[in-house]
Amino acid sequence: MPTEVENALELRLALKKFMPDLAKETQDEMANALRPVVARARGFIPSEAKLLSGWVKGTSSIDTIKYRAFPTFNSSDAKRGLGYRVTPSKPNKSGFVSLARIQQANAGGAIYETAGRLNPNGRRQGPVVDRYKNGVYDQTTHTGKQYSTSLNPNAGQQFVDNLNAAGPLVNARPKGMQGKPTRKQTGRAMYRAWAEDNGVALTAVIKAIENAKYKFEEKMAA
Amino acid sequence: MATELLINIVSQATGKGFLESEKAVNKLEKKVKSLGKTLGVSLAAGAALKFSKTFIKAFAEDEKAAVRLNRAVENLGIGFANPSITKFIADLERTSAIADDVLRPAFQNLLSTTGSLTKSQELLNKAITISRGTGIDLATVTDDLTKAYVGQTKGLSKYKTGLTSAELATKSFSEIVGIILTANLGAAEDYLDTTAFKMDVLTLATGNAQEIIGGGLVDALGSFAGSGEASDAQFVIEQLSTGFANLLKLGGTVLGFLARIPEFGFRAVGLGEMYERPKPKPKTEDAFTIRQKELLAKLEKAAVDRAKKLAELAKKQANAEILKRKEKEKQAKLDKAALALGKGEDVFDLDKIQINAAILATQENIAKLGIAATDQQKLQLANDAQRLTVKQLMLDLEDAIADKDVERATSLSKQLNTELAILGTLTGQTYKLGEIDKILERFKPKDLINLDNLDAAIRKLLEIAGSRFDFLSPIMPSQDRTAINELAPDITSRYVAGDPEAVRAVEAHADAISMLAESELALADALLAESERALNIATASLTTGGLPDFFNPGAFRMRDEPIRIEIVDKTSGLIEVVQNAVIENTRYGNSLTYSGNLTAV
Repeated sequence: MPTEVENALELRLALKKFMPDLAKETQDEMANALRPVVARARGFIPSEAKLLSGWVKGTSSIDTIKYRAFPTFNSSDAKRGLGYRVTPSKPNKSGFVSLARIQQANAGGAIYETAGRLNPNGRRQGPVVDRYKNGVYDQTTHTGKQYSTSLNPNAGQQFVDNLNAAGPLVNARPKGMQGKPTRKQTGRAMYRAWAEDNGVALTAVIKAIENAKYKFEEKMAA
Repeated sequence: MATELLINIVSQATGKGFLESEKAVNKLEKKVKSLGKTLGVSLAAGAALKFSKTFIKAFAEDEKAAVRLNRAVENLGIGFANPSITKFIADLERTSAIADDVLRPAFQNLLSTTGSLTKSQELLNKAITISRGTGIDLATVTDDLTKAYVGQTKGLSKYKTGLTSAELATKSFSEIVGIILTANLGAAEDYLDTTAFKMDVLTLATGNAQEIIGGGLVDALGSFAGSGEASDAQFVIEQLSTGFANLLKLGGTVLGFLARIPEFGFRAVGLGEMYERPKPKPKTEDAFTIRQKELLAKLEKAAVDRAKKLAELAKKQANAEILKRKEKEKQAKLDKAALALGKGEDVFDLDKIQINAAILATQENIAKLGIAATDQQKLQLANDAQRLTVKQLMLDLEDAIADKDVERATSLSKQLNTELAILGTLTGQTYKLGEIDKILERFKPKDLINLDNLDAAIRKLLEIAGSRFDFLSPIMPSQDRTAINELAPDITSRYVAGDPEAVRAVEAHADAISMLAESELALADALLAESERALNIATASLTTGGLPDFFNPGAFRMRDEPIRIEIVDKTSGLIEVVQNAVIENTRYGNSLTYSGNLTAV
């Protein structure tokens, strides 16, 4: 759960208009707070040698197929995909705007981050179901999103085991913390780094906003 | 597609989304209200229904897990042990604050793998300790332990045992569990003192309340009611929920009592026998208990036997691993020796030597015949050379296949196909003279420097320098720089307008042009001085006086002075050596003269 602040957007706009230097300084302070977390998270991204070779190489027909293939993992790209933003985002469907965030933009990196979070033993193979096609009844494997489509029944398990061996899944919001525990803050690199940061970056970001507010008010009062 | 994996650190509600949501909710509420009026059902009843559904769902999930475990136990043939297992799970839930819907699958997993009730209980306790110590969830820990029990130790690497995969593979299950437990000793007890544990207890109590209320709701068959509020103490929550469930059950009981009123009537008039239930059979608890014990003992024995077999299997696997490693080491040594032998074979490979000799001989023949060769001779030579090439490639390919060098073998086979195609063309007599000349050209020995190479080099230099290149007085043509002073119209207009950037750019351009002019002037001066010196030398060569000594032929003339010749005798030592050698030879009967030699018979 992000920390919710009030009137931060308005403060940012005011700073940009009347004290652009302070606005820039505030953003820099926020960035400085988030940079170590990103660097730490990048350190948790493994090399390709530690992962299953098939995922690293991808399918041979990746350049010719018409659909989007399962994303491959590239260590450099995954590290590059990790980053932070200190500019406001677009409002989400609930109307919340994010003022500072850490994100993983690389698909392979995102898979490394979360694989095994929902299904610790990987997705199981779909059950065999009856199908009516072209006037004939036959049987096919269920291809629902919750099922693995691999021919290898243990594919999901092997994939997750390999990832767990490369880096454990760490929950940044486990049971016992204030607020509602959630599975969605569990990951191997970004969330792990966030968990290990123990709120240092969060405090620094809020402090930066508070400082900016104090300085702005001081200037306006003078 | 951009992924939405992010940690949102600070956010602000803009209200935009909420306003829209609020409008939508209001609209929906109005519609539902109107629908409620129409159907005669109030919204409060709908809310109660939703509340009850949540609780019933919790109860159903719990019941599902329990039924699954019961079935697994029954399948093992010890269905009678279900109550004790339920009690064990309930006790464990209370002491460890882990929900029974987590404990049941874990226990079922262990029971299915080990086949032993006591072993499973023991392992589940250990798994909880490990889970608390490592922070890994219980399901993963039990899964890893069950795998390790049957010899799959790969998943244990995450527990940081300090052992390599090979070492883990050689250890027995109990040893591995012992190592992991030692590392996490006391973790479960420590956890009991933490706030996290207390929070777990409260969460668990709330969860249990949901399950109990859900059960009551199911029993009450459609009586929807309940309260979302519970006190912050486990005891109070459970008592409240149990009381609530009892209340619901009471409703069912009252209904049941009302339904039995006719029975009381019949009993009052002496017709109660029709309601008599069959008497319970006399208890044969002792015999039954004995049978249960026998079954359990049998199961335990089977589990122990299986554990023993697994241990033996693990041992065999470990031994096999050791043997395999030794075999590998042996093979590596053999490979090394084979490599050395291969090197030796390369040196003494008669086939290769012969082919090389034959290729050399063919090359010599081609060189000898040269352009004077007839078409027939050319064809013959080309055939020979091609056959030799094919043979050489075949040998190389054999070597590559023997070395299992796939890349080299593929390349060689491709090359061999090409060469075979050429040979096919030659032997098929459908040749062209031009192509044969090309083939012959390939076999000619290549000179590093010859007249052709030099001519080609000169041609290239002339191309680079243009037609004015002269080896005797090399003057490089200067570049055409007539457009150097022309400025872009945009810059000119800005310069005229007094734009400081344009002024700076024009000034820098002017400086660069003057520097270039100065450097070219210096170069021209140097070239002039050099040509003047060359001209002076040429002029002086017309008269002997003006030339330096090495250009003056007079300096090489013999002067009229007596010549002294000194001979220094340094041969006395040599004479002595020769004399000694002759004497020595004679003494050993190896006279250098023919006189005195004995003719061999």
